[in-house]
Amino acid sequence: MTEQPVSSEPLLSVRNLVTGYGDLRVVWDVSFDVLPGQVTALLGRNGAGKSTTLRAIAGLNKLHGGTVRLAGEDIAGLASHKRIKAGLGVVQENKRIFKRRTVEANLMLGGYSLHVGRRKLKDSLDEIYELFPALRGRASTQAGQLSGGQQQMVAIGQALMGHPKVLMLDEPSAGLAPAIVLEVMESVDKLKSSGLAVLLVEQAVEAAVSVADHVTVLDIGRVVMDGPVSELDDLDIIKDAYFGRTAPRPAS
Amino acid sequence: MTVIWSGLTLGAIYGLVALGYNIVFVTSNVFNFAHAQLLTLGTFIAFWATVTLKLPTVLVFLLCAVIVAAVAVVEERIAIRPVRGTEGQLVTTVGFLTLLEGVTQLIWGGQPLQVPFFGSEKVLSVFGGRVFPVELMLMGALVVFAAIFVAVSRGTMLGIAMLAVSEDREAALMRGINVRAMAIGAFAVSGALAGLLGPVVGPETFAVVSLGSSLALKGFVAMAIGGFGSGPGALIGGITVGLIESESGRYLGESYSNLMVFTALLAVMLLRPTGLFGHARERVV
Repeated sequence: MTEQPVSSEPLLSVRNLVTGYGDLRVVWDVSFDVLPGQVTALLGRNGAGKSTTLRAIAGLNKLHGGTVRLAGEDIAGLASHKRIKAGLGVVQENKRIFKRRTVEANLMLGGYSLHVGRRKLKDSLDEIYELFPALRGRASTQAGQLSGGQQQMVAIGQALMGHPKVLMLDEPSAGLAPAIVLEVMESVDKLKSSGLAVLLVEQAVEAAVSVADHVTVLDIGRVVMDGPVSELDDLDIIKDAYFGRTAPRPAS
Repeated sequence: MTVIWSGLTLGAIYGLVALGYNIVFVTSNVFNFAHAQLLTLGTFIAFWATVTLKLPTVLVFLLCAVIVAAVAVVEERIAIRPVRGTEGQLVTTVGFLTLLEGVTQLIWGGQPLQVPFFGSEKVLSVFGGRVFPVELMLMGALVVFAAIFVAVSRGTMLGIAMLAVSEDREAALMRGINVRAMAIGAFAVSGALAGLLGPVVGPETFAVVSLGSSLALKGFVAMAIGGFGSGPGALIGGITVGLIESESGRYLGESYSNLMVFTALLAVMLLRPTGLFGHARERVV
């Protein structure tokens, strides 16, 4: 990944987001920023509304209120595929890759929104193989035959092929062995260093905090804690916020 | 050999219907039962353009393709897009087939209309059997269109994107693929294909309203035998159904031809439920 100049302007800015499924609202008044070269971790227990928030940003769930800005542009009114084209990279939960296609086809599909042609897309595959050497040599393998960790690498590689401004990862550690989680988090760290803005939705607190610069904790669809990782004295504060054992700290 | 040529011709028509089903199926997971009626509409427009308007051949093909493609897009708009779930869409495509059948009958009546073939009508002797040029053209059309289908679906980004939409619509959206445009495009292309075949199928079958229903069923059997979503499957499935129908009709009697076709379908479904060239599908929950 090539280094990009880092600015302090947020690349993704979410304000007072209200969303849910159809008319059912499950997330209220959620706000956070994702800065270039930083990882914002959206944490919370199962059912807290993390994935729903990510899906709303991606345009998969209805937005009932609030704004979503990508590099200053309001994308709330755009169709999902246009948000991807605008620079949103999405890695969905459960490794939603195309399991019947080859690894190479999966990665090339990641660059579909660029409309640059197969040859040019093939040229940029090397960048992905540099980030995930385990995928090199597996180009012709059917993606469904890869291990869970390699499938997650394909999913991240797919999102990166679209040259996103912001990469959103939904539970990338789910179902993976601890050693593989470490590997995935190392790649997130590399992406951060390259200047990419990353929104990381996770349940695994330790893994997320190991790469995050900023933490936003959700519970029952609302922000219960928000702040930079550097100000956290103890991970237990986050864990307590998860289970409602501390008084909610207002978002900064 | 003449019976084999006749079976191959029937098979080519079934295969072309199955190919039309597949174009829509791979992009939207919709089984468009009305496709066979679109082809029937193509034969009527071919009759109208050739006999009534007396247009040159190129314009006949063009008119058939444009009108039937437009009707297919209307179908996508009113019978597919507002309906959620493939089961519901299956019913609405049957509804559109019935609607189209009614409208066609209202305009052109219930009597079969002879569509003149634009090429030679002289019977040929090939490998000891009698075959008409229109029949050879139908077989050629099946091979060419199946090859185009395979080349596009496996060799182009558009084709790979089509297959991706078929595998996981939401994941395809997250790769920046405009799945709605893809669905409309698939209906337009399958409609244009049905229209283009009108001037070739019409001279073989006549333009007759009931053609759609019989082709819908046999086309479905061809698709199921060959495998849902497969280009080579449509070709092999169509030819299999056509040959079984004509051979069993010839040697066992006409009343056995349908029985044998459905026996073959059952046998394939028992031995290979995904069809000869199909893949098992994984449901994402």
